[in-house]
Amino acid sequence: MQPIVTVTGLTKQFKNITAVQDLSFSVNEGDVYGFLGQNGAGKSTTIRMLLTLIEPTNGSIEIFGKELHAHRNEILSEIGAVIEKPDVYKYLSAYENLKLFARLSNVKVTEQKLMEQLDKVGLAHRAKDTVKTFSQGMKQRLGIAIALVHDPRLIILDEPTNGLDPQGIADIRNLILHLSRDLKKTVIVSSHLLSEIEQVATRMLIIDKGKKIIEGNAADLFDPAQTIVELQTFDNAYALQQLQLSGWANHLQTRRDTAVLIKLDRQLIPKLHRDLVDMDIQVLSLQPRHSLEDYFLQVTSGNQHVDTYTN
Amino acid sequence: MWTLIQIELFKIFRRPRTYIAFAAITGLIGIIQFGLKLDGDSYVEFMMRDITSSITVEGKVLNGYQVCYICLQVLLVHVPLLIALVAADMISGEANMGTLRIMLTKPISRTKFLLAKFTATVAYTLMLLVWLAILALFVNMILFGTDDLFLLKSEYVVLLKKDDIFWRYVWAFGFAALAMITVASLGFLFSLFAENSIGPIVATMSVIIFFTILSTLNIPVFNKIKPFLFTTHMIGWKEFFDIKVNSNNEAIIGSIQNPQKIINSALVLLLHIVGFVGASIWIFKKKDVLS
Repeated sequence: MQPIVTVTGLTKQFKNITAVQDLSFSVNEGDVYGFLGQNGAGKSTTIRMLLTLIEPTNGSIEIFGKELHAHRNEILSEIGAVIEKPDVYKYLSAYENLKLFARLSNVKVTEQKLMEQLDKVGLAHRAKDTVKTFSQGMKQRLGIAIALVHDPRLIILDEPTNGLDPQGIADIRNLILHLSRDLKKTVIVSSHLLSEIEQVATRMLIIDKGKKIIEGNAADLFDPAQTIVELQTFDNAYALQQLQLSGWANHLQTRRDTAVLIKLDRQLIPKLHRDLVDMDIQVLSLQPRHSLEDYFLQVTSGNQHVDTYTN
Repeated sequence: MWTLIQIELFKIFRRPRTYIAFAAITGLIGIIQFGLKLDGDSYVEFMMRDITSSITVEGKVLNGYQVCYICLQVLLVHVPLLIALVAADMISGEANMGTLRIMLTKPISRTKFLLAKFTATVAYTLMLLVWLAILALFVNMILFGTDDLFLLKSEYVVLLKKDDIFWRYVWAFGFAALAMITVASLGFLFSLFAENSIGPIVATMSVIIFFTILSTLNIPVFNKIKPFLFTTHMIGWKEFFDIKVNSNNEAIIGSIQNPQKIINSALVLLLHIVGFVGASIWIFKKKDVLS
């Protein structure tokens, strides 16, 4: 598939801080590209460099096969973006904001088209109200309407679910899926929450402290040899003791109050199940935990949250 | 570019803050008009107290032209603050609202974006001065009528004939516009460095106050730098009300005492505008938008 974004050796230095270091990745046409990393990992800095808001210290960015800085306006005319908070002019109405940004995108749209756009994000009934009366979710939807008003080829959403309630988060997720599946758009979406990205992304990039940790298809990031199962019993202390005595000590991964976490190859799960029955441990539940989430925590700065079990 | 300017003007005039300056000027001129209408004779008596023994002035001293001159003397010192309210907010206000980053992800060059904003600021400044001219000149001409203009300078008096005044005001307002655009361009430059407008507004006013004090201090060591301070030249509009006299000490109608001084002041102000705007573009093109 044709790469739509190619980033090579991207580095950004702010005085003594290296926010992004030698980052390379590519986004293919039609991808929903998940951009993952903890807060401060360098996601927003990278996205701002893609949008020419920040000048890279080193490296190159090509979008639609053209060098970004040489073809800035041409490229930006085909990008729609929501960067962190969806800030718009609070003293203007939703309709006025949308019209203003449509004009800035060199798009001539009729009132009917603008109203249709607002209707798509559920704001048609509030079109004439000033934005200062809007909730965070409504502002986010208006921000998305603004990002899409010029029918861009590439959509960049930086932390689009920040500050949203569960319904708002679900709406954004559905919108991303709609943009990708129905409208065949390419979407780059960043988040520090894996749970958001994994439901929509076809490819992912995980960065930590400005460096690339891994890039690839979501399915490829799943390593069957690194499965973690969560065991809940009536007496977890007893279960722990028995597992240690029966040759599972090396697999015991973390200590939790309500469960025992066991790291093992996926194929060993049936054996574990049999051993638990043989040891007469009364199992309440035994289920694989999301290995990708553990992987994410392990490869990023979050690994300090995982305490290796020691007796 | 025209679309950008239209958008910027639309935004300026949709913000309530914009109208504070218009309201303030209306209020201040209204108070001056009210006071002079009520007790103008006492004011004239006080103004002329030192020269009534040597000069007899006939006609209506407190006329529209006189009141306009009083208004300009009082207000042109304070209008920079009102200009700074909007000019120093042009970029910092956008950064504060978070709209700067959205604007700059649109297919517009940063230079065009900045020039459109500056043009809109200039348009606002000119509109404010037109409003000042309407209230201070035209309304006063209606309220107080017209007659000769009698001005007391520090070492001499100037008497301008009724028919030789209006054009001077037109040029004086034009020059005042140049001075106010200089203030606007300074506020505009400062607005690049902050993410809220308070800092740039205070910084603009601080520079003006600081330079004005330096411009007016009669300490020899400061005299060398005075010609380079824009505040020294901001009061150049007064030069339009100094008239040439012939060898018989008679005023030459339609003349200006020192036109070269006005041209020099205008050039200094223009250089400052070009410098401030040029620096703004240079800095803004390199600026990382982190807001």
